[in-house]
Amino acid sequence: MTPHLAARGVSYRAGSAEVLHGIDLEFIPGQLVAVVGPNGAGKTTLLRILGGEIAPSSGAVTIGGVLLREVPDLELARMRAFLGSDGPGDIPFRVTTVVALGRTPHRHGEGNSAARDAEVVAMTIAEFGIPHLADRIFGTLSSGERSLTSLARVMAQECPVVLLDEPTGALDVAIEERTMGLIRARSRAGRVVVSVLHDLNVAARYADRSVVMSQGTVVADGPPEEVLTSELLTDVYRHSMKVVPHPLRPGPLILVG
Amino acid sequence: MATGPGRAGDDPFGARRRGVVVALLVLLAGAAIANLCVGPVHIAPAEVLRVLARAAGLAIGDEPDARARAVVLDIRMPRVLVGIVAGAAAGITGAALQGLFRNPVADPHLLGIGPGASLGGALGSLTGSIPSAVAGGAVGGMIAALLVRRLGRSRANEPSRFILTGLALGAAISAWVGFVVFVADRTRVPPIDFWLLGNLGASTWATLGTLSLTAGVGVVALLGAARTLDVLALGEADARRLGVDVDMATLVILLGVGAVIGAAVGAVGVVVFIGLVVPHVVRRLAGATHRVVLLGSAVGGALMMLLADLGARVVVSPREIPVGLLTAAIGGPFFLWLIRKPEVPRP
Repeated sequence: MTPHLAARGVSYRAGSAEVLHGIDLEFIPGQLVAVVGPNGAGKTTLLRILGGEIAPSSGAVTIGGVLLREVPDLELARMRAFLGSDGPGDIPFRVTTVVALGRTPHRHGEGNSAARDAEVVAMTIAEFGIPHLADRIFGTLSSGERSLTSLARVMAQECPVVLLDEPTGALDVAIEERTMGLIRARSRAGRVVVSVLHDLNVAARYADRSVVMSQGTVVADGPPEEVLTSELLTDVYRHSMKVVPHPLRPGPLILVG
Repeated sequence: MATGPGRAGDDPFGARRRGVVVALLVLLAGAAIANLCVGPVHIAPAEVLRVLARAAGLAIGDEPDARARAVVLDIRMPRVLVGIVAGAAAGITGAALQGLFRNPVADPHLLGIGPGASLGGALGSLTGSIPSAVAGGAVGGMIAALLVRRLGRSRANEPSRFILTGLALGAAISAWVGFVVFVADRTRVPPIDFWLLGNLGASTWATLGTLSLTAGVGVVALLGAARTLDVLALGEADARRLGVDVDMATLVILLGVGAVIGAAVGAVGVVVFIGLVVPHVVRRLAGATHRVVLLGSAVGGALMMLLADLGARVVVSPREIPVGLLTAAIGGPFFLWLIRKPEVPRP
């Protein structure tokens, strides 16, 4: 099955407010897509609809060509991983145990085994640079360490579709760079990765494609260097912004005026 | 069962977890022997062991005294075994509810499930038979668990709402327990202190049989839900994202808790604080993954029940006091001490 994710004519109403309207988006494997836009633009709602957590008021989402709402829960959990922006609380488990919970949908799965679970967990912990935390209790970690652990848990789920809501918000600059590199590597390996990002420069640097949202609609969609312009951003955020060539590397640098 | 965390071999902490459970089992065996020895008639440990060996078909040492044999096998043994099952029921249900609601003060007696079991048990005992009191307790516990689930559900589905709902429901049901007790035939329905503070004095082999059978089914359901409880520790949203049917899991766990604690209440009344205190101790000693917390709380709950019952029988010997006085007198202050420090379990 091709892990291809698409939203067709998706709208969402909450009471009388229309949170999303007329969203048509297609996500293909190998592309890291950043969803950006001001608070209240509908980014998280879109992500939750793409993940099957809430049903659109109209329109439909398909995953691998199948209607998302018709995919059984367990099968969906093997196809899409979702990192929420509100991380879990003071879980009294070791980091290794928390990451291993990401393997839950694969238990009793065909071709899976306890040894394979343990291997994936160890590899993911190593990949995200947290082996030194492996035996720490999650509830005692800093917010950045929790973010990395939760991200490792979501990646250990090994799904072809990965949805991330603000994965790097609590990370310091260096770890954020490293982590975004890992997320991009995951998409390069053939996954659909869609991430809500608040930091426009992070989006500009790592995303292959930026989806700019404002007031429940997609106002721009394309490569960051084409889409993230001074005019569009100033308009969307109602705040003066300027996009200049980055002095240290190719690509744009977004300045907030 | 043996996937991921908790599996022996890939877990450096598995040995300690097993060690904690084994240590609790050894202490439990010691407490059981002590309970068999101590009472208005003191019987030496060696004599108790000889009686037990003979009962198991091993003729070791001298023929034990007939009176000692009768006291140990007919009176104290069923009481000890009923205490073990009822204590285990209290411990494992406290652990399951704390996991389900992600709340350290969840307990069947606080959540209205204990009062529901009391009402069911009191109604069941109207027939004058122990099995119907135990079965009535289990049914009452399950109905109360379903009521808490139904009434406590809100759009936000916050666990604390279940606790408040359970408190209110429990107070209302307790009034009906009192009503049944004071109106009914006193030779059949146990007195009100039994339903508030528990008593193991009426335990017989018949009690043990019904109790074990009814509670056993629920215990199997709860142990089977251990891994799901681990996933639920992430919160409901993440559990759903991992494919867990949260509503079904909640239903199974609540019904399991209702049956287990309900049967125990029907047999020995309400013994407070075991389910509240024991899981915290187990988590601190052996970590918080639910397989070990559920199992450890069952063994620890049985241990606390036997020690409390020993106290209940000796403090004003030859009279007995309700076992719940002991568990509350010791468990209450201990619980206060426990929650003073934030709970950081060992890995």
